[in-house]
Amino acid sequence: MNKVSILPAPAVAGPRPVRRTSTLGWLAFAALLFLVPLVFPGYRTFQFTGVLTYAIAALGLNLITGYVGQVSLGHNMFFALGAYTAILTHTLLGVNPPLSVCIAALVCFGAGYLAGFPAKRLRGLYLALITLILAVSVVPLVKHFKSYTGGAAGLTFDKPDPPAWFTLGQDAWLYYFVLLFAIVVFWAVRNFVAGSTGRALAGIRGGELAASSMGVDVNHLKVVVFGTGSMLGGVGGALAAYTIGFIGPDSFTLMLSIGFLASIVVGGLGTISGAVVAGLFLQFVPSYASDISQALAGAVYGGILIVCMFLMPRGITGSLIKLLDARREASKHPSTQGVPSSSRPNPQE
Amino acid sequence: MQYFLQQIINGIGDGAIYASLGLALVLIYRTTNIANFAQGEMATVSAYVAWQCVAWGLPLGWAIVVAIVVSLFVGMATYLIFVRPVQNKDELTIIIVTLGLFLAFNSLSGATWGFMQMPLDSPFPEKYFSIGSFRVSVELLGTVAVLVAISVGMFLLFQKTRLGMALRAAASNGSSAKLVGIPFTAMMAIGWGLAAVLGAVSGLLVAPRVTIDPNMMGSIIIYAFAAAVVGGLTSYRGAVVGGAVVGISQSLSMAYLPWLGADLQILLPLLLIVAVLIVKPEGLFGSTVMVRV
Repeated sequence: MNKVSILPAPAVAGPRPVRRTSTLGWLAFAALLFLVPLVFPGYRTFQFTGVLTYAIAALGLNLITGYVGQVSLGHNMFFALGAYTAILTHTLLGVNPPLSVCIAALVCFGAGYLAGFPAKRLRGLYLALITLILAVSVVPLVKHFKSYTGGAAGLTFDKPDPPAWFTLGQDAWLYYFVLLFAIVVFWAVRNFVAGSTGRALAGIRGGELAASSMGVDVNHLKVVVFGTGSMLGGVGGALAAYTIGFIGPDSFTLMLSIGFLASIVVGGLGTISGAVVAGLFLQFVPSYASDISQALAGAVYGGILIVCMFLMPRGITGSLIKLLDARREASKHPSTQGVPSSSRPNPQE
Repeated sequence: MQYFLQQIINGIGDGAIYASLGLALVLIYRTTNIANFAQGEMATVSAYVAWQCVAWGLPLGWAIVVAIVVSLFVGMATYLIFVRPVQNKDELTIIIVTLGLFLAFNSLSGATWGFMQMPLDSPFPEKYFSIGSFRVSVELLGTVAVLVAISVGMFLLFQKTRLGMALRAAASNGSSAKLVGIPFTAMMAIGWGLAAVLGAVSGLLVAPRVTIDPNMMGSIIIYAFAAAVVGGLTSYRGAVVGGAVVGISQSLSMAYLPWLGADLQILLPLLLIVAVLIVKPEGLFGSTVMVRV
């Protein structure tokens, strides 16, 4: 990161001055998360493990799309790559689960870094379409290498067992296993996007030319972020595979990518907490949609997406932050009636 | 050599279908600057409408006419209800909305007509011409003829009629078009309606080959996007050439690279597209967009 930290701190649009309370909030949230298996045993715990794995992967896509503004539909590729790397190194080479997740992270970072090179030349719709090709390649690739991946039938394997001293059962054990990774990942990403790198990313999203003329190595940073985001996609996929105990190509279709993209937009682009909302969205909305109507599940899901875009284009957390900001500004300067954060001057002006 | 030419001819048949759906994508991209991910699913609905009319006893020709008229209105309604409210929002919002439409249309056609595969007769007779030692099916000739007719029709519409000029004006500069009295919203809706008609044509060409089911356009929309993007996404000519490139490369990889296996063969044309875009990010016929800073 030493190449990119040259952007001088903009005078106005600095980090939001609520650092301490939000750190406390996150600590309280993490503490609450530790209680989940005690409060909701069994299937609910399993579902919340799913929320965490999705949230990790969604955070990765939020780095790529929310922080840098590159629209990617290929996140399912990295989710799948992480899952297969972890499971295959675990079952074929006997690597233990935590280490295999780390190997999957490295492999996905490398793959994402390579995929980032074409990505840095393309933007907007073209990038979306190129990554669409990545998305539809997953199923054919899995089927082609069926001697390793089990082909269309998929692979079943034993979930990691808890040690003897752990008495809450396997679901709770896996929950804590995933939660540990989630805390590390969220903490690391929060530090990554705070400070100078975060401002450099905001600069790229706001105007590439302006950012590069202020000394941001735009291409390098874009590729690194694509690699990092893909890595988180892979970590999420690897952890999801361990919690489910089965991987097959049907879990990694284009629909998964659409879900990721939709969930981070609904959650809130360019916010850390948006990824948590995205995890909840991905875990619960599709299943509630099919509860409402089995036959029309897709229509309900699609309808929810469209309504969210109509009513809250900044996503759930984006709308909340805007509301809170307006409140705070209004209470600080009763005369100015609250300036929304979007109307603050941009760094390049 | 003869085998090679035969493969090219087969590829052109597929390519014409990708091109007709690709033209729909280009039309929408040029009029409203949107990539419509739901285009394929809208085409599936059109094919189902034709099937339903045949099931109710209409002759195939009339069923096709009904399907095309219904598609025109479905396309216009889709624009007015779902797209217009977000048209000026950022790209990602619009992408999510068209992805939502994709899910909704897919699920609605599944809920209405079920997931069984339904046959639809081809409008062309099942005959072959033998020219020398080549075998060319009437269906292939018909498909290419339909594509040519569409292309000529679009050219005449956009270049020779007042409506076409109004459509172009609304697409190229909305606010100026409004100032000279062109009904902007109506033009956008007509653009979406026409694109839905092009999509319907591709759906009606695909349906007899693969039988209708809710996911029948799933892979075709990907190839159509590939065709449109390789041509530059803004060029009608590019979409037609792109369709041919995709169709022919697909057919050649099936014929000459059997060791790749069926799964990887379907990916080869897409890899070709990636290669083209890496070398020439604006596509073969696309115009380089100048950005004022």
